Amino acid sequence: MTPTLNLLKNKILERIASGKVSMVPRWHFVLRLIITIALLFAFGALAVFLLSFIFFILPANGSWFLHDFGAPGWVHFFRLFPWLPAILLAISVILLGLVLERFSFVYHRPLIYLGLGTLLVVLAGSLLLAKTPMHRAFYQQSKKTPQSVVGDFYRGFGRMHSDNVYLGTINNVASSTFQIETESGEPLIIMMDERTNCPFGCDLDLDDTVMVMGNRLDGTINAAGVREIRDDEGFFGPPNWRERPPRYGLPREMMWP
Amino acid sequence: MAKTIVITDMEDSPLEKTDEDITRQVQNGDKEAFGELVVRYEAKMIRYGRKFLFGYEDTEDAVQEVFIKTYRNIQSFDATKKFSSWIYRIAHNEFINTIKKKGKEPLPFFDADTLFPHPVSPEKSDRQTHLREAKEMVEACLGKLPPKYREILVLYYLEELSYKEIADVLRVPTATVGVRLKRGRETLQSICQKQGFEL
Repeated sequence: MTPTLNLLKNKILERIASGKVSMVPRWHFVLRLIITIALLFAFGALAVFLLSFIFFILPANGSWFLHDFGAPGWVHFFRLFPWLPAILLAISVILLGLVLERFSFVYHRPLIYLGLGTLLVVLAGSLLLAKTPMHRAFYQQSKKTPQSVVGDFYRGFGRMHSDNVYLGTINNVASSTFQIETESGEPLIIMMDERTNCPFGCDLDLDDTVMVMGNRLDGTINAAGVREIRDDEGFFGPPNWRERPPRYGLPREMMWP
Repeated sequence: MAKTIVITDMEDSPLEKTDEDITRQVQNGDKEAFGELVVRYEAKMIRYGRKFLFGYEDTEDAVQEVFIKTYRNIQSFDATKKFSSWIYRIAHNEFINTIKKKGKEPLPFFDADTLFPHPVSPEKSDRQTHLREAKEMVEACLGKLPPKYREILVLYYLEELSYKEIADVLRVPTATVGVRLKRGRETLQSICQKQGFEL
């Protein structure tokens, strides 16, 4: 053993003996591990919640149906997309990946597996969560408790903010015209012509819920697109949307007084 | 003449103990036993530091800091795992911090080699084929290599760690070690050729 080697050994042992260098207690590392695992679950749960929220809110506020109008519909779809939850989702997935990377079963595998695995787990979790009545319950709650943060979140994203897209219930039908009543109770006359895009047909009935895309002139809309929204498509309507009893499988006259 | 056989009690001799046994002793409060770990690893750490931190002045300070951090964090070491990989990992972090502090060499934020799976080249034949020539090349042209390749070549050819151990130290997939070594060798060869180094 060379004197140099002993020199370093002695130097370090002296520093340890003098108390200048002390061992970090085991509980500190245990606590750190617990915090890491808690963060893992927190970021995972946040990612699952946000993705399932996006899955829920797109049909709930009607913007999911816009893509049926083709290219102009896609433009509106992307404009109305809930970008804030999507950005928060991306951040939570990245943070989740960063926390996961601390574990050897993750960093010993290519990053692509980590990315795909994380996305698959978050996707599966969010699809499962979207099947539960949780978002539906929060959404209904948001109408009753306007002060809460959760209420603001659901109410804010539950409404489509667009000057060219209108949602309403048909209360009058003529040959190439019909009238809708919007969520705020405003009557709007919808004018259709041969250029109007009706992805599921232009044969509309009273009490149908419709989405209309087009330019507005006073109380009249020149419809570029009209799409009926069926009751089984996950549509909830904006927060002020009037409550209606379900109509599944029952004659219309029995359901809509 | 009768021979006397002296049986000495070797159980407490530090030389007979594994690194992990000594670590357990330190974890249980035997501070002096840490000195044995310093003795066992000082030469390795200095060699690793001098080669990886080629051209940097404060290698000895960095090595001292490696041992201080090893002692401080020794309770986090799982004694069922390999101590050498753990201390090399601490050294890797310390040396990377030294490079960052000096700001002389750019360090990649992200390594694309860790993104996709790669076929792993057979480790044994690879080392036997390249060991002698690579050692000479590493010694001769080390300073011109980027840190990413310099470190892996030092760990493999000079420290003689296995792919698995290097993967543990660098926290990358084992296949990435093979890919990075191959690229490192190629880069080293071209640098050496430019410098007129003849093998």
